[in-house]
Amino acid sequence: MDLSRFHAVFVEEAAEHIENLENGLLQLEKTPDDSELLNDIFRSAHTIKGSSGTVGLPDISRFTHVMEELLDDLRNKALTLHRDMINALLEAVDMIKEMIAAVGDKTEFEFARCEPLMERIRALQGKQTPETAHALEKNAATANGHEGQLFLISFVPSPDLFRQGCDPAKLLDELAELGSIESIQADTNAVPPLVELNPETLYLSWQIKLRTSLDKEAVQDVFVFVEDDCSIEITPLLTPQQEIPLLGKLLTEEGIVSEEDVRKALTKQKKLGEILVSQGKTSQAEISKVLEKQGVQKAESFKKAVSSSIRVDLNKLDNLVNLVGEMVITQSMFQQVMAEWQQGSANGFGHATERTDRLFSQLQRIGKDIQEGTMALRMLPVGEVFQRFSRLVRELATSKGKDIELVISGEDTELDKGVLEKVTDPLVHLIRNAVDHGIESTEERTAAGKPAGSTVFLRAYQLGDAVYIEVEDDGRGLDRDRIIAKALSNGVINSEAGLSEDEICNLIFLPGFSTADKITDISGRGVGMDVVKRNIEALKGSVQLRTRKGHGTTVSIRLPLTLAIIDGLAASIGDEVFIIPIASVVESLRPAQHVVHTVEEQGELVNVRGEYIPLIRLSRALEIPGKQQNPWEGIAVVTHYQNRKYGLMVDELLGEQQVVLKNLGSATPKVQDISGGTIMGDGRVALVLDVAGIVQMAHV
Amino acid sequence: MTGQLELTGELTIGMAEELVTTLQKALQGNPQLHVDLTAVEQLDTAVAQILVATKLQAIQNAIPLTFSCSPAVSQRLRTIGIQL
Repeated sequence: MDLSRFHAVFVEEAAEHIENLENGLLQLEKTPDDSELLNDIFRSAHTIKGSSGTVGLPDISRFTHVMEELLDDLRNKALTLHRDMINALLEAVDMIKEMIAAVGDKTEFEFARCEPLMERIRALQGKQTPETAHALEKNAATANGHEGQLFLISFVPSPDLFRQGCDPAKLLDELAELGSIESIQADTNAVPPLVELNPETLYLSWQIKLRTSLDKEAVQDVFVFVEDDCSIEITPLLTPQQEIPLLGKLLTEEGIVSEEDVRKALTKQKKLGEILVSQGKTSQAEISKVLEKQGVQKAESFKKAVSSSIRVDLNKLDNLVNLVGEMVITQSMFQQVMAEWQQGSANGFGHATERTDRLFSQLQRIGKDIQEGTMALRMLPVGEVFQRFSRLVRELATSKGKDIELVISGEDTELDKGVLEKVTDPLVHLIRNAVDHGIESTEERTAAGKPAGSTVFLRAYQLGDAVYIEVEDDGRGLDRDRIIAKALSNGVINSEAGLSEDEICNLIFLPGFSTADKITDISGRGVGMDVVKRNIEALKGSVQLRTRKGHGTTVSIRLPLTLAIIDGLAASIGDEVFIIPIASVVESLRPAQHVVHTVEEQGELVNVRGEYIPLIRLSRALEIPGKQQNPWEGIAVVTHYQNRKYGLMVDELLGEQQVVLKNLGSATPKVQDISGGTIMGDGRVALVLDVAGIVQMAHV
Repeated sequence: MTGQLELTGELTIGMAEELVTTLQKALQGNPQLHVDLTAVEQLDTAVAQILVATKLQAIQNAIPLTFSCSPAVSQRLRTIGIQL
């Protein structure tokens, strides 16, 4: 049977378990005694192993089995966890990712690539360090006379082999006599299900690893009677220690060393880089450069997009289904009322109208709930994306030799799926920046009297009509003087006079701006912050940067809740109607004359129960004529933005209503204080105000 | 109810046809099936291949299928790299 049709389902299912494994392992490093967590990780590995076996992917199954065994030993407390194990297991997760990606792309994955890692994991399980394990293994191999060349034998026999009176098992037995079979795997993919099976046709083929002191010809001889119509490939394999790791490949590619040197270096059980340096083949600087590149390549894999399908909380769906049920009931009740009406029922006309009214308002309520429920389906918790960053920070920090912990909060904050997808890339960039430039080297930190371990915070929260995502580090902070110097030399500004601290910091969002002394591959090539800003602005969001020299930097991204239907407060200014999103409204009041104060050159303030709130006259901000000239004749709508309150002065309030937010279209230039337009119940067009934009424009 | 099918003796390609028929019947008549190979003294590649095909058929028919093997059977399956 062709099991490959199950592969797509397997790939999808496995992706979830892989994520679980990865996050679990990272968590486990922090809380090694959490047995519940360990069980959870074990279960994920076990599921991958089981389901890959079921759908005919024995390679993945075999590989995961090794992981599972190590996890099982940890679970049974036969082993205690240490960092080497987490590293090996994380690498194993990467390997499984690659294997599964190969299944998804329908490409071949060379299983031999797993061998070194499998061996390492087994060594860890042997309660020895990998080095001693290798040594012991080697001794054992010599003692048993098992040392010799490893051959990978691919044996695809003729389908007619049985009819020729030959049992391949005999050949395999003969092969075993030549040395030791390290692994043998029958490929059963071509075997059909029983009803289609011709028992006299051979569908199997084999991959065998044989270690023998004999040469290739001797191995070939085993197949001498069948080689005419069978396909036999015998390839001498590198021993696992000779497998060239990524760094080696990169060094060769860059032309820094020859492959030969790498191989020689690999025969020694030391860090590859150190050996090449000590042999004078390259310098430490070159190695570091390539090491960084290695870090970047690893980081690239985190940029994968959010999948195109969406996972919906069952409660949300149940809720919707309930509402639809209610709607159907109301509909049939309507029908009945109409029927009674037509028959001129004894209940009388008045009674029917009353019932219609009641049913109508019920229908309205249901409609509104369905609307909200449907919009909520698009919302995803940011945790899905955030979790991935733990790994990113761990890898980047290791490659930079820094000790950094990523603290995540607000994973449950929900964002529209489309927005979440697009915000991932800028976040990767910000986090890389924090790790690379924000956080000082350990020596620098110690010299500055800070703890060597540093922290990067990634948090999300909802405030009013927006979601905020912040990346904060406790590093060196931005150097104000250097930014100014750079801006002056770039001609971005002419003088620093009149620039606030905030404005200076936000200069780095301008194109072509980087103050990094050292340009590395991880970040800091002068492109970046402006791209981050552009990406966020494309989502109608904004980026703010706060920094304190020596204490750290916070980049805060504000993203509007993209719900297309918003609750709004309709207010009139002159002849125009504007909608203020309810989510940002605190209260509305008509200030008495004596609580309105004018501050010289600072505008007006309203004293609301002892709190002074800046007053923004919308008629002035929007440059349209208003009916009321004095605040005590109009209405002050108190809104909040970034933890501060602002009073927006309007002529009068028209009421609260739900409006469908529409884009103004590309023909209109970008207006900061308007987030869109809507059509009111009476057909008039009203503009929806963007409170954040207004506050920023008003400079209060 | 789990159906039981016990196979004995030396299973070779000579009885392959017969074995296929037996296994097909067993798969059709039972919601789940256990094939007992503990009394099998020997088996060849052709028969091992039939067992693989049986397993695939069981997956296709959504019938849980289990095997129990004699040491000789386990040994043979291992040396030809087949996991049931």
